[in-house]
Formats: sequence, structure tokens, C-alpha cells
Amino acid sequence: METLTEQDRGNIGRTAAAPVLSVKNLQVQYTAEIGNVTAVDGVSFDIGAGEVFGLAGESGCGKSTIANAVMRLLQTPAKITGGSIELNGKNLLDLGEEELRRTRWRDVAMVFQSAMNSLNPVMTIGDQIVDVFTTHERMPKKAARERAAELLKLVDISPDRLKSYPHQLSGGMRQRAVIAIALALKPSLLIMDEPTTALDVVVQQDIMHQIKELQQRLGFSILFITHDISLMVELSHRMAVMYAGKLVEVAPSKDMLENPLHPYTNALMGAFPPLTGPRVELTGIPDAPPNMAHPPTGCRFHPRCPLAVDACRTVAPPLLPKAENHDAACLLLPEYVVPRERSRR
Amino acid sequence: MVFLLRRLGFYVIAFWACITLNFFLPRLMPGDPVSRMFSQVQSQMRPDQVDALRRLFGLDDRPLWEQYLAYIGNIFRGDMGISLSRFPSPVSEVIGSQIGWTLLLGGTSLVIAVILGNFLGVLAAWRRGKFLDSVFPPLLIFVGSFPYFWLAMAALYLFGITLGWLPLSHAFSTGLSASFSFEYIGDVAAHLILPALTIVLVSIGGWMLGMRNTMIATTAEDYITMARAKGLRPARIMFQYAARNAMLPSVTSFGMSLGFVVGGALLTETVFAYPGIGYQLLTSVQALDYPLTQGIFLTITAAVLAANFLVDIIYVRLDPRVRVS
Ligand SMILES: Nc1ncnc2c1ncn2[C@@H]1O[C@H](COP(=O)(O)OP(=O)(O)OP(=O)(O)O)[C@@H](O)[C@H]1O
Ligand code: SF4
Ligand SMILES: [Mg+2]
Repeated sequence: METLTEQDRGNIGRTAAAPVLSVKNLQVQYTAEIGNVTAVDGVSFDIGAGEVFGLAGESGCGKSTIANAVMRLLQTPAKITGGSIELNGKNLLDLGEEELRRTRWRDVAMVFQSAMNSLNPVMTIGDQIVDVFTTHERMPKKAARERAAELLKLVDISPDRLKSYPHQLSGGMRQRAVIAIALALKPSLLIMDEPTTALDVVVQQDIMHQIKELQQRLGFSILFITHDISLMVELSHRMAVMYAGKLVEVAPSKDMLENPLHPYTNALMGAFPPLTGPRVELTGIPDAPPNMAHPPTGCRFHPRCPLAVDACRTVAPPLLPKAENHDAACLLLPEYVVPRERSRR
Repeated sequence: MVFLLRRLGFYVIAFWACITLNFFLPRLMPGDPVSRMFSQVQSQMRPDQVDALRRLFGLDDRPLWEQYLAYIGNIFRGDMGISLSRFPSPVSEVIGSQIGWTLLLGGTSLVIAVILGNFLGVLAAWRRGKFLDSVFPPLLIFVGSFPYFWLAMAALYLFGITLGWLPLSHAFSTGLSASFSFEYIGDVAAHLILPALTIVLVSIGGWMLGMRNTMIATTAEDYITMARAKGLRPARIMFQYAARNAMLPSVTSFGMSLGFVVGGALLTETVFAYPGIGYQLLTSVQALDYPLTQGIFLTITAAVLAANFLVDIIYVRLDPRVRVS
């Protein structure tokens, strides 16, 4: 994909150094008998080195599909039908099976949405860490065991636990073990798809703080997906809000919280209690999310948008800069013009 | 360990219940079937043998509990009475003379069918929709749905008569006596091939299909996705992550089948004139040889329970979740 879209232009210059992950115009389709579902439709974003990038949105909007596309884990009926995914300058969509296998986990690792079930029940935690080292680094078993013990210490698990089976660990410990496995090869990007949904709030907080600390210490980038906006704002530097397969707003998390521009983001934030209140999932918006097999024409949010005008039904708004470092896709928002004195600098 | 002891306790109780049932059944039967049965053979028996049989079936005047204790004592000494149809051999001797062949035939064919079937199932599921997966299951189901008799006769005709590669019947050539010589073992093996082959042929499809289906369900598990994400080699994911989990249900069915091996393979024994428990059981029922029938059933029960216990032990090794920590 050589040609730039409006979305690319909106992102240009955001991250000074070369981005770790650069997704351009990504399109993913699920093939189904009743018709194809374009679950991700023209999504572009960059994640810089050491940046924590959040991805928020209602259930079914396509967040996991993006995560799995970056890991190249999508299987039939899902298919990447367009765009590019560059990791450290290498387009993952060009890699063959064997190259892909070597890239996975070494350059990009993932903590899954269902991290509770991502451990093999018949293998010890230790063996499941060790096989990462023996496969990718041809490391002897003994050395690999020592590294595995260090990794467990990193996430505050006693090295005795190497010999434990997953069912012998609590939910929180299992999750931390998965994080330890994910960090084994020091990947430059860690994808976390709702890593704490299955855990209770206290453990959740615990683990997220630990991740934040590890991230700062080790400096990897994170693509962080969650329903929990308060958690996301707390943890990520920048975030994107996704609606029905498209990004509708991208901004630094603080801006997003204090000054949401897109009507959908506003609705989300409005549906959200303050950080200290009880946690609510992103379901506080009236009406159901759209049927992805037949998404609404024009702006996909128009059937639910309180501000919708006639044009919204026919014109699809592109994601454009609407404030400094702040992109949104809404017809009503005026485009941001870079102030003169700044642009001269 | 606690788990295994609890299971063992369960099997002991189950076996005891079975013995008790065996003890009461003839005593509760309406009319006097036992006397009628005796009348057939009484003329050949010595009075003390008749007496022993009467005791076995509760036709003596001792109180019930005394009979019961004596009965249990006899069972544990391996004394299950005297066979009527093979008079005057004791039941244990009749069973003992057949069970080796049954275990050889049933055990060999079961192990081959299980290993081969499961392996094919793993491969078929892993390369779903590809050659192995689209050709083998329908083919094996097709073969498995032939009447066994027909299939066995066809194999016998082809390999035994037309090609003449393999012996037609019996477990070893007449004239040979059992020994640890090459000649004898080779002879036994040659006689084993056809009967075992036919059993494998009709049973392997079930194992393959069962494994394939569990394996397909297993490959949808999150830990398989994670294993792929970890960049492990496909062979390792297939065996260590997927098959290793998918084999657990197979192990349970293997235990069941292993126990029932002791019941013999009646049809196979008939077609190939192969010695074994299945045929023995049939004749004992036909001849109203109640002690032998009971003895065989008791042996089968014991074998099923023992096989299940064996599977429990294996299972504990394979699935850490059943180990009590
Ligand atoms: N196996 C599938 N077959 C067909 N369509 C699918 C399949 N999986 C997902 N989809 C479609 O893709 C869309 C996006 O799914 P995805 O799992 O990426 O959503 P998500 O944002 O991660 O939701 P959640 O927050 O519930 O995890 C869904 O709305 C659904 O229509
Ligand atoms: S484009 Fe129209 S429908 Fe879409 S968010 Fe803006 S106002 Fe609402
Ligand atoms: Mg998801």
C-alpha cells in the first residue's frame, strides 16, 4: 500500500522515531454464508517505541480481530483483504509460514483475551516457558530453566512454581505467568487483549500496575485492548476509539478523557462513571451496535448519534485532525488548522 | 494417591457386589433349575462332586450366611466349581486354558487398532479436509459396517486360500508343542495375523474418528492459539499441545475395551476356529453349564474392573488435574 489515505496524513509526524508498529489501511473480512462481514475496515495507526497505545470500543467492533491480524493468527473464515502491518519496518503480511513462526513471540507477543485458558493444562508452567527458549534460541534445557525462573521472579511468582501445573495456580497467578511467558524473548511489542477481564478487581489493579512498571523498566510498546476506559486512560499514553470496524477518534489518553470530540466517544465517556466510582462496561449507550454484515451507510454511528444530520446518512467521515494531536471522524467537527507560529518552528 | 485409593475402594466394592449377586441369583431363581441341570450330568458324577455342586448352588441345608462366607472363600481361592459340560474339569481350569489365547488375540488387535487409529485421527484432524481426512474416515467406516462374518470370510479366502500366505485356522499348527522356540512363536504369530487383522480392520475406524473429533475440538482451545502465537514448531503444537490433551478421552475408552477383551471375540473365534473365551461362553450357555457361565462372567467383571483401575493409574500420570495436590 503505497498511496496515503487521509488517515495516514492525520498520523504523519505523530511519533518522532520510526514506529514499532505501523498499521495502514487494514481490512479484515470474515467469510460467512449470509455474506461477508468486514470486521475491520481501513484502520490505520502507529505505535511508537515505548508507547502504550489503547484500543477501546464496544463488544464486536473488531478489536480482537485487529490484535489477531497483527499476530497473523487469523484463520478461516477470517482473511486480511487489504492494507499492511509493519513491525519494526518489516511487513508481516509478506512473511512466509517459517519466517512468521520465527517472528512471533520474538518481535511481538500477546496476552490473550482468555488468558485464563491460554495455558496447556497438561504441561507445567516451567515447560511452557522453557519451550519458548528452546524453540527460538536453541538454548539448552538447563539454561532455559534458569531464565524461566528469572521470568517468574519478574512477575512476583516464586520460582518453585515452575513445577506447578496451571490448575494449581490462582487466576491472577496464571495471568502473571502468561505475562512472564510473553516477555520471555523481550519482544518490542506486547499485545494485550482484555488481559484481566476474568479476574476480580483487586487482582486486576495489581496486575495492571505490575505491567505498567515492567513496561517502564523494560521499555517495550503495548497495544492494550480493554472495555474498561478508566483503566485504559490510566495506563495508555495514546488511545483510539473504535466503532463498527473503523477508528473514530485517536488522541492522547488525557485529551480523550478531558476533551472527547467524537459524539460516540462522548457517549462512552458519559456512560462512564468517574475513576473512583463503580466500574461499568461499555454498554451504557442506547440501541444495539450495528449489524456488521450490513453496516449503516455514511457515518456508521448515525443511527445512534444524537447529533446526526442528513449528510451523515450518505457521507462517510474520514479520520482527520480536529485538534492538536487529536484525530476524529465526524462531519460536524471542523478540521484543525496548525497555528502559524507552531508550523514555522 | 488419595484419588487412586478411593478408586480402588470403589472397585473392591463393585467386585464384592458382583460376587454377592452371583451368589444369590441361582438361589432366587424360580422353580428348581439347578436340580434340572444336575439331572443331565448326575449319572457321571461321584457323590462328593454332586455334593460340592449342590453346595455351590445353595441346595444344602447350611444357613445362608454360612453358605455365603464359604462361597466368598472359594472365589478367593480361585475355586469356582466344576464345569458341567467339560466334566470333571474345574471351571478355573477351563477358563485358564482359554484365557491366554483370548488375551493374545484381543490384546494385540486392541493395541494395534488404538495406536494406529489414534495416530491417524491426530493427523486427519491436524490436516483437516486434506487427503487423509477426506479419504480414510469414510473408507474405514465403510469397511467397519460390513458384516464381520463376511469380512472375515473374505480375508480368510483371499489370504488363506487364494494366496495361501497365512494359515486358515487354529492358534498354532497341530503337532507343535508350546515352547520358547522360534518355530513355535513364529507359528503362533502367523496364526494370529488374520484374526487380529480383521478385528483391527473393523474397529480402527471408530478410534480414528473419535480421536479426530476430540482433536478438532482441542485445536480450537485457547492454549493452541497461544502455542501458535509462541512460534512453536507445528509438530510440537500437534503432539505436545493438541494430541496430548485430545488423547485423554481415548484412554478412558481404551480401558473399557481392554476389560472386555477378556470376554473373547466370539465371531473371530468361530470363523478362524481360534481358541478363546467367547466360544467357551457360548457353549457353556448352550449346555446350561451354569458354573462355567458364572465363572466366565465373574472373570470378565474382574477384568473390566482391573482394566479400569489400570486406566485410572495411567490417567493420573497423563492428566495432572486429577492428581490431588
Ligand atoms: N468466526 C467469525 N465468523 C464470522 N464473523 C466473525 C467471527 N469472529 C468475529 N466475527 C465478526 O467480527 C466482528 C469483530 O469481532 P471481534 O472479536 O474482533 O470483536 P471485539 O471488538 O474483540 O469484541 P469483544 O470486545 O467482545 O472481544 C464481530 O462483530 C463479528 O461480526
Ligand atoms: S458524522 Fe454525523 S452521525 Fe457520525 S458521529 Fe458525526 S454527527 Fe454523528
Ligand atoms: Mg475481543
